[in-house]
Amino acid sequence: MTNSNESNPAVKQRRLSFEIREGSLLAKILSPRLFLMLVGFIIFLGFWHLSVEVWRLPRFAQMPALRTVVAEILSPNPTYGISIFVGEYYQHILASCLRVFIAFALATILGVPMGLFLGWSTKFREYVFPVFEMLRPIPILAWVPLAIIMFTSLEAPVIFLAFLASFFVTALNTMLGVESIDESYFRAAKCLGAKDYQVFLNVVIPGATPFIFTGLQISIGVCWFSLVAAEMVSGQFGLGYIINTSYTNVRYPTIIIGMVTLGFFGYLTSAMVRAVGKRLMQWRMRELALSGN
Amino acid sequence: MKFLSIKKQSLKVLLAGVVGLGSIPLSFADNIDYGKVGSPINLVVGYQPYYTESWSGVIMRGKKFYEKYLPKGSTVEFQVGLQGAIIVNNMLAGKQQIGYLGDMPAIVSTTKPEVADIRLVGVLGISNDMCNVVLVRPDAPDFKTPKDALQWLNGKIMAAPKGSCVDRFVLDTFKKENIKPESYLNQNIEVITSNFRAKKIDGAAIWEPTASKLVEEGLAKRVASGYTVGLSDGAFLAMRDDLIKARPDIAQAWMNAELDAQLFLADEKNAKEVIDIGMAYTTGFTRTSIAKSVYGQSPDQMGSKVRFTLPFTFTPDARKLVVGATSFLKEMKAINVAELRSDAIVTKFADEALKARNLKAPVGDVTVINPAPN
Repeated sequence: MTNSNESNPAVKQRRLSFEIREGSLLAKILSPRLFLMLVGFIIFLGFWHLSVEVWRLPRFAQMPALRTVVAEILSPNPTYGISIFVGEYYQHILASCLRVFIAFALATILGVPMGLFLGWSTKFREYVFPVFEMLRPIPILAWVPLAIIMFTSLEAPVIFLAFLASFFVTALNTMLGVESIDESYFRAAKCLGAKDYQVFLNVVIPGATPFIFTGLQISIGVCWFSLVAAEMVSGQFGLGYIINTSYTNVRYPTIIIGMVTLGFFGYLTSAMVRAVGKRLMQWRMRELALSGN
Repeated sequence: MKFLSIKKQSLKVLLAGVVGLGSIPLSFADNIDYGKVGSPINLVVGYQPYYTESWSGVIMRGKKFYEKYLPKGSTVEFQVGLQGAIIVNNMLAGKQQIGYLGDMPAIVSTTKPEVADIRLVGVLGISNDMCNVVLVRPDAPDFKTPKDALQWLNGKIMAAPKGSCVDRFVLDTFKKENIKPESYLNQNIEVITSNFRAKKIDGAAIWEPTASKLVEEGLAKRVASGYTVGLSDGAFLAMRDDLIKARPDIAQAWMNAELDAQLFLADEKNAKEVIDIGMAYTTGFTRTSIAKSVYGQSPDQMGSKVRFTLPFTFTPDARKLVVGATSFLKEMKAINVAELRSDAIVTKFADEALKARNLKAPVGDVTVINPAPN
């Protein structure tokens, strides 16, 4: 016996909408976002494969082939010693993640207050901003010799170098966040008799938060990309170390493995910062929704 | 449902596109145009003024011996490589055609035929302490023997530039002498210098002339070398195979000029001029440290009067070094082959240059001069 409802398209549609509930795993899998992301990766990897192995485009033909890199990373006995089956690979990942975590945490703890004060206090800004702006463009590599001499341990210069670039990004974005706050909020708070610290806590900090989180997203990325320079100093362990050492040993597939792994963790940590930002900024979303923007 | 159908459609288009594009074998791989045999050529040569054993390259630049042999109108641009690996990467990318390299980068360069075919065409030097020099921090104890100094490195922090000739020496020495340092750091010469200054490392292995410089500045003291463990080091001349194939006349001309450079280097009468040229193409070195790096003597040399031999072509000693080093590098997963492919070494140009002048390899030695000329 067959159920007559099964042939009814309206029932089918209702059942489908019941099964694919919003926010469910299935809905996420079937979402256009995931699909488009996959398409993006397919295009990227396809272009890599075609340009290196099929078309052999000028300058691309000498690059390591996609198949070589995949074979190396998936090999239980990799030619150049690094693959997902080798414990050392995870040691490198752990070392880099720890360094980035510490550097990013320090950059946030020091950079956010610095940016808030730079944006809020004109006098503080006049003292500090010229020095800040002079130090900001100095490349990480230029700090390497000084970092080695400044810190006693072998690990501290690496963290300092990763921290430095990240700190400037965080502080600058926070400062811009404070500057973006509508002047009328300050006037209103003053009119209502708010003291300076109350203005700081209730106007400056919440007002600058959207910029702070934008800054933190950039900052975590900067932390990762300054890691390659920073881990030149480490001499052992870390994804930047893998890339540097593979360069001097001319191990191109391992360079790519280091780059891809670094990119993956960079993406993951950025997404984490974004998620935290979204959660903390729900008031802002509501505000934007209510204002119709 | 509508979305699912869009996805199917897009996927079809995408797959069709990928398959379609992939079936077009464009093959644009660029070939370098070296011109016809006998015509002028523009060469880019990677050389290492900061590696004494490969100094025939510095002499070549200073004395311009190549002008006598290359076709009229040719140009030669010399590019400095602070480490052989930098030159290897440039040669693989086709940016340099000839390279003066330490043993490890030279061997590595021949193992990447999928990127570019590089051949070893000559031997620049063989020694025991041009690349293989062990330094320790200046406040380390005074050791009775160089072997005691090596044992002291157990549990200590040691550094060397990985991928360089000295890396092979360090790894082999650790294995032979059963040394287990607390850590073996990959650091370039500049970072090693800063770390000695900051007293963060206990020891390092490094090549000349930087070894002599660090000792002279009091940042480190020299305690052992390849003599201590019977390990030799070498430097080789590498050429891109497409240059050799397209312009054998140029390969031959360069080897003729290289022979002039090695003979010049071997002649003790030229010592002062060698130092002058070395000073001209390096920065940050005193005349004394440059002189000591070429002609000086240290206790760990065990009385040897030869700083380095100039084999020019692949003598049995040079081949032995290549064979031993290649299998060791494979063991260390630095390269993907246990022995070099049979055509990685090309001796015909070096042999021809020797034959034309009725010379035999090795063509000479760079010997200790006491006191080192200044």
